[in-house]
Amino acid sequence: MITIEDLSFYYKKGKPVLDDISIKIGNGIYGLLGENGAGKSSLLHLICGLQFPKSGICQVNGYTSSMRHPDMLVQLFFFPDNFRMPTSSIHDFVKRHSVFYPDYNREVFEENLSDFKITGYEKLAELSLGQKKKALISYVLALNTPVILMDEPTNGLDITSRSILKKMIARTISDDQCLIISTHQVPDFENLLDAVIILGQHKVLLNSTMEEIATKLVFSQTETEPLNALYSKQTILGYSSVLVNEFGKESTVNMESLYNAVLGNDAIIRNLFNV
Amino acid sequence: MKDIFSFKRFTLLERYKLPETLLHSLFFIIIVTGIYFLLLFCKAQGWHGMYGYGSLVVSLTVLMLAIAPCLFENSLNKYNSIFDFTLPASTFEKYLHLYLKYVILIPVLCLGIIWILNSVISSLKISGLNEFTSVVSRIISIKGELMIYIMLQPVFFTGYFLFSNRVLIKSIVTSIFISIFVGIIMNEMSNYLMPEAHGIKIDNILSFSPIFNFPLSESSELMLRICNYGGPIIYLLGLWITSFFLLREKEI
Repeated sequence: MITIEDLSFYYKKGKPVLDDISIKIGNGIYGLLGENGAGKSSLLHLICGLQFPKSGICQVNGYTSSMRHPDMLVQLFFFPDNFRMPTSSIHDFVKRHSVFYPDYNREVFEENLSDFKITGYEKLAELSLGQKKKALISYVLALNTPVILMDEPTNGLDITSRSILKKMIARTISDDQCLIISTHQVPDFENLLDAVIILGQHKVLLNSTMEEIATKLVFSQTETEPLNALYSKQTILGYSSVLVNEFGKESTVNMESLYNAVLGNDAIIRNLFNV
Repeated sequence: MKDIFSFKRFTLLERYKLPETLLHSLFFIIIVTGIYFLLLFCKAQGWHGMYGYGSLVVSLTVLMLAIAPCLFENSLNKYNSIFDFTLPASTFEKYLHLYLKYVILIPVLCLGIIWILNSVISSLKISGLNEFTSVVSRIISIKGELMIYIMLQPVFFTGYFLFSNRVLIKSIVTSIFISIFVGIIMNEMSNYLMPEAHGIKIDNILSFSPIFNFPLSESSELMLRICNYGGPIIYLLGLWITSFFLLREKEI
């Protein structure tokens, strides 16, 4: 679905944001993680053609992103972190905007708005950032585009709305869609993600499904700190650790521990996952 | 061809942009009407300005039309324009929308408003205002005002696509530099191509209505005519085409 080959990107020469990265992204819900400045937003901008690679290829369903081909644009929607909306109501905006998207589902949109307790007739200019986001999320998830890119969707959302969003994503995203969520709020999407991409040091440190992660790593809770842990953190219950799964143990992926383990052991992780 | 332009897609785009287009058109109607009545009032009061009030109506309208894209459109940056850039329409269609709006729709609307206001005021036959309306009618039909528009409009239009913030100020600075540059080029050209026409400068070269009261050789006159018509056309087309490519290559 999304193919990135040998892609390099920078704002200033000599200061790479992404350096010669290659990834393939298929259907499913992807978490895009990384520290500030790791290139998460830039990667999303590159995928939807808002920025162009300095070298390499970035394609969405065979279309080169930087060409901004209408047939490619109709297959994706980018939900930015910060944006200016028209001054009209979301209903008015959707009425004019949705005509470009053949699979838009009005019933789903209304249901989403209702879940967020938004009438949709308020002027967007008069809404807070969180309310604007909720209105736009309701719309994005009703478009049914094959690719949806979300940059920090939970920024500015209250706790209840975060939980509603999680349920909404689970309800509306189908198996033949690709949703990439760039976030720092890892717990907001726990148990929802099918795969994780972690960026760091201008590279892709991890691009793997949750099944593969659970097969290759083990997430343990022990009273004492394991000696060979990739990452270990003391909690009230003892030590929450990430280890290489040498004995095929089953465990539930802890996103926060995974993230820290990957950032602290990039060489081991990349070798383990053949990145 | 469908990748570049589809009538159906363009219609959808125009429908999507319709409220904005109507709002901007309304702003222009108010601005032009405001300028017209303000200067008419000044004239009626018998105040004397540096320029004739009638010609000022046309000059200010032309200036407003030229800077309109920088004044009314949101700057092309990642805060304002993500939904426009990711809208499923081709770059050409998005460009054409702005082109038709600022080069055809709004200018025609403004000229129409001035013409209607002038006709109405003339028909009232109020003494003292006839001079005002006749000056407006005369100025609006001369090519000199068109040349001001031709010189300025493409610069501000291109500036809108080129810059991501402080678009108007940066375009004004650019227009000053371009005017100086074009002036020097025209001056050098005239000195080189028509040395016998000392002093024939940009006003005459880059103008649809050249004025000269000195003899020119046949070849120089031909050159002058080519420059008269070719210069503005190349300048206009050059900057309009540049604008399209700036939009196509724009990263936000």
